[in-house]
Amino acid sequence: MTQHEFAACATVQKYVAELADKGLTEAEQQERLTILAEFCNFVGRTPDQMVAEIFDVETQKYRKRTFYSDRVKEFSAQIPGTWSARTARGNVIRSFFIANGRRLPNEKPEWL
Amino acid sequence: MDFKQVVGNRRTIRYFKSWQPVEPAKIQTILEAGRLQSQHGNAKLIRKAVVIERGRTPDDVRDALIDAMYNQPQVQQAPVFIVWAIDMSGWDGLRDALKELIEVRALNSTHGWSKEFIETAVIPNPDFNVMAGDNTFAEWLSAFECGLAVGSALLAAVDEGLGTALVTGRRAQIRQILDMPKFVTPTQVQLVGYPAESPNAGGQRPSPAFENLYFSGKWGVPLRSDPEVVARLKGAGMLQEPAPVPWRTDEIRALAHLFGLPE
Repeated sequence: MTQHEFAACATVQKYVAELADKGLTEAEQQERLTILAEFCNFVGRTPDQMVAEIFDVETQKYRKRTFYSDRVKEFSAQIPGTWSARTARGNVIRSFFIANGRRLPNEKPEWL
Repeated sequence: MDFKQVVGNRRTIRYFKSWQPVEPAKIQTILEAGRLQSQHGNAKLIRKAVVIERGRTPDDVRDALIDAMYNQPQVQQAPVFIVWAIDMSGWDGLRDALKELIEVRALNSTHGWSKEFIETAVIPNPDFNVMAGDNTFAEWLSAFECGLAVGSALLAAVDEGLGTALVTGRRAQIRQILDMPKFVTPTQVQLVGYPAESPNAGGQRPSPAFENLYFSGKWGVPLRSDPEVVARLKGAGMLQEPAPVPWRTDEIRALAHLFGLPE
């Protein structure tokens, strides 16, 4: 998927609009989009495909939430660093899904 | 705290200091505020609650409830849950509760009350003894009565300097986890704890205009709000700065980092 195709995805545009609405700078937005693109490569799907398959609109039930929840955890664990740094990486993907009306379970800190 | 200030300060808190327990005396005070609320026929046994406390209730019960409440972050964080429930069997005590009100001189002959009147006129009347009539009305009134208690409990929590919120969940699952009998229905769950967000939670939430809610003499005829009263209520802290305050977005980002939540 080219960068242009990635940016043209309806789900990515929704996510960008959400980031802008929250006042994130261009650099912060770009950082998140880079992580999202990495995740798309990691699971071998486009952003639109991910949003389309996680939830069954007809039955109004999640169908691949566990799959994505597990992949996000694996994706987060790819980088070295603290729990916070790794979780922040996974939270970019969670935020992307939230911007598109879908929710993945959050990562609960050990102290909670 | 002044009553108007308590009403004005109440918010649905969504970030709690999970690490700070709530003093048992404060929990008891909240429950007392519910117990003392107005109740149809004084049949107060219809509204009950199960209290879940982090560190006191077994973890497996608390964790199961968190799951039943959709694993929402505020549920994970709150150190106390008050699971409010309607016990329909509580209406069985209506007759005795009314007679007790006569004995304590709350219901008096000045208004036509007697034990005979209770037996012959009140108990057979489905407008008063809701279990004698349509079940839908009985359930509706029970929910209303339980809501009264919960409303007081919310304000009591604020008065105690705590944050509080109501959340919903999978009721069948909650009933099973807590071993509630079939005639008991879990309603909303009240979360209680010290707020991790600013107590004003970013400002007072939007509300419909006074005139859209209240009518004068006839449905649809707006009851006008008096600007002088509005000014007085602002001074008393009941009407407060509307959300969002300018720094709210930054506060949410900071809280997201603290709890490891997506922004």
